[in-house]
Amino acid sequence: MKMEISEERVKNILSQELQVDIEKINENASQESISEWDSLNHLKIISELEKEFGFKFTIREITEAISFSNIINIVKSK
Amino acid sequence: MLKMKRGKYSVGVDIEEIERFRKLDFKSNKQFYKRIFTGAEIDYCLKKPKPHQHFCARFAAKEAIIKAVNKIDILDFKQIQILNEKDGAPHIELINYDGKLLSRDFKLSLSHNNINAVAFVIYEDGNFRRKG
Repeated sequence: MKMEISEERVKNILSQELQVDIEKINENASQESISEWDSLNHLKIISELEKEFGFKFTIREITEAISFSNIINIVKSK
Repeated sequence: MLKMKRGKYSVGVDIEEIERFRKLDFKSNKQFYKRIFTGAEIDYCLKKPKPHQHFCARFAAKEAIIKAVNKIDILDFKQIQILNEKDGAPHIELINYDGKLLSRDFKLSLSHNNINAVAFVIYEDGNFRRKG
């Protein structure tokens, strides 16, 4: 249950920062599938996720957090 | 004829839209700016009449450096610091988290118009090794 809530929060952040409909944020959403997900928006997403969940991404995690599923895995690992 | 010193060089270039930084104002997005820019960079940009232009150019420079070094996993944006010489010319410093200088083996050129900022970087490989 806790993870479902986290997934919704991640979806909301991705939708807000990428300015795309939340329906577009599914388990296959990634930098490759969403053209708005460029480097600046990526860092805005990281910054918002850190604010929302209260942890810091490592440099490696920032480079790996390029899809919805990867972000969920990173959030789960914290 | 001008000759470059023998060695291994790599380049990086990046272009960014200034308008995106104008919309991303500092006061409402402090956490983002503090994640990306050093205190010295923030101070420099905020003293300018149009801080967004300067933040944008510095962001482009950081992206260009990461492309030139081609090892994003060892570089944090805040380890890359773009400062200005007394004559206004920008230069790059790689620093560790304590602010200690790791490398200045870069050449940087910045340019912008009202729409975009562009950064071009030459990296002379060899001396930079991550220490912190």
